[in-house]
Amino acid sequence: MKFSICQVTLNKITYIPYRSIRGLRIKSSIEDGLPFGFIEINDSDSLLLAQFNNLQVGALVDIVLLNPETGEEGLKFPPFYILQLEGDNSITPNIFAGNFKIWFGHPWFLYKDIKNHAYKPGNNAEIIKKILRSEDRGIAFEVDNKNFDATDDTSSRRFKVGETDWDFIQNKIIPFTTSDLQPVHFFCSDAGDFYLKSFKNMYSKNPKALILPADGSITEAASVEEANTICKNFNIKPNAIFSIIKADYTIGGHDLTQNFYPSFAFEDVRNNTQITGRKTIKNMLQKRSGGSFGNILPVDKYFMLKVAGTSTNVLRNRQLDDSLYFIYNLGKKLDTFFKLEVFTKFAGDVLSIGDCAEIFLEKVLIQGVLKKHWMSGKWLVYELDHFTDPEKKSNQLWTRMILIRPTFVGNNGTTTLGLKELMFETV
Amino acid sequence: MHFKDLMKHSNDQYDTKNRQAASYSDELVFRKAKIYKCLGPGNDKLKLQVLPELADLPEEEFEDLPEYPSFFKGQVITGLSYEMDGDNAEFVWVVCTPDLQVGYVLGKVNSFGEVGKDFLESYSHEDVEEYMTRRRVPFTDFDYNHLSVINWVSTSQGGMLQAFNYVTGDFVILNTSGSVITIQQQQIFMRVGSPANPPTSPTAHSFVLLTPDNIHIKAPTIELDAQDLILGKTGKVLGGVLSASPVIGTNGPSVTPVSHIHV
Repeated sequence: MKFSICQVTLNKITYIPYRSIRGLRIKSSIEDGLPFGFIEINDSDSLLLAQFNNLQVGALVDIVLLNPETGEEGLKFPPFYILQLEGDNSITPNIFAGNFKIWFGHPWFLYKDIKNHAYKPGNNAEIIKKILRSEDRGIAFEVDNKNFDATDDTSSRRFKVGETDWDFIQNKIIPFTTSDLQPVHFFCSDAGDFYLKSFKNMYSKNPKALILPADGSITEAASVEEANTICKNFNIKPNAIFSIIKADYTIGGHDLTQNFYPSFAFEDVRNNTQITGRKTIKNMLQKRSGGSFGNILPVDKYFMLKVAGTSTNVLRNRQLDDSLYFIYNLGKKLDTFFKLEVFTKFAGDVLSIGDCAEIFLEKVLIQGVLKKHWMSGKWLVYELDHFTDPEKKSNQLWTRMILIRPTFVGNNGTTTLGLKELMFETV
Repeated sequence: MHFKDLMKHSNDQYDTKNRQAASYSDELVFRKAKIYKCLGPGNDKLKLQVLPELADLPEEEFEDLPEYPSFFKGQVITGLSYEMDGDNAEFVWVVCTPDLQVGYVLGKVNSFGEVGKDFLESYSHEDVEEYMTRRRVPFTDFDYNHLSVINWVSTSQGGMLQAFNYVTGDFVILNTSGSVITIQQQQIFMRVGSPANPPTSPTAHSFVLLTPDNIHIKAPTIELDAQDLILGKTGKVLGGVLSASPVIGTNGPSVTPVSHIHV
């Protein structure tokens, strides 16, 4: 279904005329944590600016999307709040007529609890849920228990002191939080849902969308049949099938290579024991055999056998449990080892960050044998960026998505992601 | 270079976050804390309200305050606590991680006082010196500039001063009751009670003064509880009359050796 901007309402009072809206962008990302975006408005007669109706920072922003063909109201985003206003007077300078941009974001950008708290030793996920549900910040957030993994730590008190609840969670809880010893990601989708989940648990879900190469590029009957089977198996409807308009990919990167072979030194303050060690990636790239990609990280084994280390991690004055959970969390960066940036038509009504999408490419003939493309398979939606294309002067929305996974997934759909806790071995 | 560049300056100093250690840092930072509770025998830690970080903590969360041991092994620090003494609770110095997860208690907090004014927390050297003089504490050099005070405390219940003269090496422990111990170059002095306070109505007191050639013991009563008492080296024992009252007889008293007192 195509979507374009329908209505933007400020403080539930001031409607921005449809014809005045030049552009819209809404971004949500597992890395950023909270969704935000902007609306570009053409204020050709300067009336909006002159009235300044509800253009204040903190005003509510309601966005409803419309199907341009039927006029039907479609996706409604959860309420955002104005964070910043900026503009030019490029149309008629003497009356300050021009374009202005309204930056908006999740309520948490503005509503912040700065009260101090001491939290009893307990499950970190429960502390985060308690914070989300608290009305101390002026607004409470809903929590769906199924979006929260059970976490491992239960032994430490946590102190929120002189900081916002968001900073407290990101700085003092997440670094020491794992689920089944897997690093966890904490974020809010553009639908307003909060998640605390490990890559492994997010990746275990069925794909919600099928992403195909450009329209018409799948020609083989067997491939069409295979794609249909995927849709049938995972109940993927036609509106959840997307063609790639443009795609880029990145494998590796500086932050990731720093974590191939990290060393660590920390202490157990309970009995003043000093601990040192190193971790190396266990799932190194080995020879392909048959149709298998090796099910492993694309890191050369020869290099890994020769390298002495890639980074050092020194932790002082920490309780043993916190140090260990922190070390486990170092593997979080490797979740994005493969990063695929894909442009499609608007996918916000189907996908949220934290969902999975299946990429399907036709098999490739390699040395006389048809082999599955390494890119084919399930990916995790890491970032969604919905936008209008300003060049086309159209309000139709498109989506730029970043898909990630840490290892090859191949060999007839099997994966070693289930063994991800074994990605590192301690030496 | 543009004039603006010459005038450019950073406003980071107004960013209070930049003025603080990162909240997730692993380094120990120095903080003041109010004693909420002494956790007692078998624990020895203090439950502390680290300030100002935990200043406005809801009272129902006080039981979850951080608990720190003494910084040095072998030391136990206690003090007046909020739980027992309310607003009279004492403050201690702590070193801890900025997130308060791990920390240690260094000792009691001193006040800073006002700039350019007398320090109100002074141990009041002149008063102590006068006090020692009136109570005849034989500490020869109590010159302020020669004295290192190790510890002093004064409360409505009492107080003490522990100091040494870094020139002579003389050492004194003084209690506000008048009890005192000194270790000096030529003497050791121990006393309980005050010899004259005020001088016109001396209270009961006792002391022992040891010098290289003399031991002076003074007390209203001196009890020597011993199997054998040796008072001299003549090889003889003391002779005496075994009676609870004075013996006056025409035939003369009967003198009996007191075999456990050697003279």
